[in-house]
Amino acid sequence: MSLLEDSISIYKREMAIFMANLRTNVIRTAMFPLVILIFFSFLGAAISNVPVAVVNYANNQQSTQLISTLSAQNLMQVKAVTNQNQALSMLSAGQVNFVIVILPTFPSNNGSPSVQVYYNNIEYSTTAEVLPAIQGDVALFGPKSNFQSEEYLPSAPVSDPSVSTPITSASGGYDDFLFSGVIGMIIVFSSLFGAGIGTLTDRQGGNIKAFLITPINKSAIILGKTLFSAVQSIFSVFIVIIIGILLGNSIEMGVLGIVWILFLGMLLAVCMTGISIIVASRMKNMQAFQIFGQTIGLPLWFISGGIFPVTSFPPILQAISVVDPMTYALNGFRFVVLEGVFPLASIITDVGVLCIFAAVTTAVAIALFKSTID
Amino acid sequence: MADIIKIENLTRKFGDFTAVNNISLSIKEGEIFGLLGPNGAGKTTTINMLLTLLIPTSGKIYIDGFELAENHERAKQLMGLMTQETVVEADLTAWQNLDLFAHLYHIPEKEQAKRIYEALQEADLTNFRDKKAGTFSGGMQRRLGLVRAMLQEPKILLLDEPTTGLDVQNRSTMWTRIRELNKKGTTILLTTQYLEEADELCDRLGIIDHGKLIALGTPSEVKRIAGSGKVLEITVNLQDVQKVVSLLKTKFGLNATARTEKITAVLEKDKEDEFASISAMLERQKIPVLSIGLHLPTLDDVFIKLTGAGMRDASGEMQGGRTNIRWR
Repeated sequence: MSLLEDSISIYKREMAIFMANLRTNVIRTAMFPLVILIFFSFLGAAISNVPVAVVNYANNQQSTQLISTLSAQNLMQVKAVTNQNQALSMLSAGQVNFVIVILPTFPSNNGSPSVQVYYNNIEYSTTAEVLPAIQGDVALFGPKSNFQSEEYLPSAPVSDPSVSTPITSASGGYDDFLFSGVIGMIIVFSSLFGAGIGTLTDRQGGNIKAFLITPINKSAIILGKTLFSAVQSIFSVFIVIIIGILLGNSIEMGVLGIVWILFLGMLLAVCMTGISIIVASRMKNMQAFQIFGQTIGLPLWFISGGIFPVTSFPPILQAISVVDPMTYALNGFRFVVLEGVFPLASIITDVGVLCIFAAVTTAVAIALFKSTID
Repeated sequence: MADIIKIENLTRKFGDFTAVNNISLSIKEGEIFGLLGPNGAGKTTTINMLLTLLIPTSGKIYIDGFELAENHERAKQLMGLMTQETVVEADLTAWQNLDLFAHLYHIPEKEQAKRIYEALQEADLTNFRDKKAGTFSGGMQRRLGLVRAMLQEPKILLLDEPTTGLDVQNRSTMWTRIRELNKKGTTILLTTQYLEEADELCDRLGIIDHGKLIALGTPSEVKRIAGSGKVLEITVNLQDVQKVVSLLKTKFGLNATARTEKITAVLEKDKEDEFASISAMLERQKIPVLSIGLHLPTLDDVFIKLTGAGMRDASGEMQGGRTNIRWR
């Protein structure tokens, strides 16, 4: 009982310090996400007039409508081409980035897709933006399964459409992808940097010594700080969500999605606080901790897929991403932000892994913190 | 009176370095006890062991009759601490500072507000209760630190260099407060490197150097170590120092100690008349004397007598060896 009460006392102290500097904290929490969301989202948002070749084998009312739908947006610049080979050679020559083949069966789906898309993946962001748009347009005329796409390599023969994989990537644009990444980033900044620097400051200033001579449970010092980090993450994530929504991002899952994000965010904050205190226990000064923050903290975010999808990473980075707790939190965020769903399998994996991470890092943090007090 | 703190053969090592070396002493309930020594002598290490912040390498500590090692929590309730760097929470208000520690000391919820209010009055900070402690002057912060240390009404107050860095006025205010607390029955253990502070405040004191307790007793008892007579102090030019020391030895049989330009020697009670002859002798030898005088022994003289070096010298030499809590 006293452990809980002591932890709450420490938590209240952290909160009072936070509230005493509220204005600075709001500005600090808001500025970086704002800058990243504004500037980096141009990676996706600025794309327009992507050259696309369309081969219309169906030549019916619906296919004509599809072509006008595709051309209606600024995103694509549609060129009508009479046959597939000519279109593919344009793709090889770099004259177009996408080839859309509307098969004679369109818009019906007799067991196989009736729209086949070939693309080169020279510009990741273009692909991520355009493919979902085409898929969306095709879906207006029939079942989603009508759409099939594959990457086209000039040297390779065009493969049988039936073996290529349907696109499963984000339904939103890059800015939504980045949005969910930035939610993760703000937790790294507020917890990973905040908790460690706070602990070091308290230690150097003698505050921790002042706590230790009182009859409180030593673990409560760490638990109180961890509790505060979790609550602080709610604050930080809210700020990022507000900024994101003001900038035009959306959360597909709505209010329930925000609740999920906050829950995962708190778990992630606990993990990051643990890591932060573990490192701070082993460090003598602030400079050393900041070097840690820059060399470990930021990569944790990058590797987890904060800015680019993990699938685009080389195998070694993908392997590292497996042990990065942030990967699981971001995965959870993405489902909620981009897909509007949260599949059960993902709940179990993401929440389970985060809980284990949180428990282990907190336990190690407490043990190391105690060991530094001789 | 009963011993409220009893230290038996206390030793603490940091690797090869022995910070506290086999110290034994008792502190009686209700007294002001001073631990005097230069920086790095082992004062803070001793205090930290009393506070359970450091585990002794060997030896035992009894607080109010209970062995400390087995009664951490109980002992912590009995002791309050104020240090030279006593940190108030800069971002918290005076009230929040005291409220935090009222919780940490597990003061019953019902009593908290009353105690905090009294503490603020005691520290003369009632008008500043909702101001951030970081905006307070040094003297105000120490006052807040002192009432915070007294919040759980400890039987023992540990003051680790309570007046280091304070100006003269704040120092004498602090002394007054320490005496007041003592009059109300609080046992006080203070460490200091100021001889006049130990002399002025303490009922008893111990001198500690290089981790060893080298003297123990009331200030007048300890001063008697320097001799029952008076201390002769002569300042001459550096090149004459050795000559004067040997003259004092051969002509007057005095064991003089020289530190740079200052020579000190103890004139026993019956030899006090020799002051005039010594003065005359120096004149005859045509040694320019910068100053010459007799004074009653001070703790500094005791320290010189015991260690061969002055407090300030020792403190400079040991600057690097200061041990606070060690963070590995």
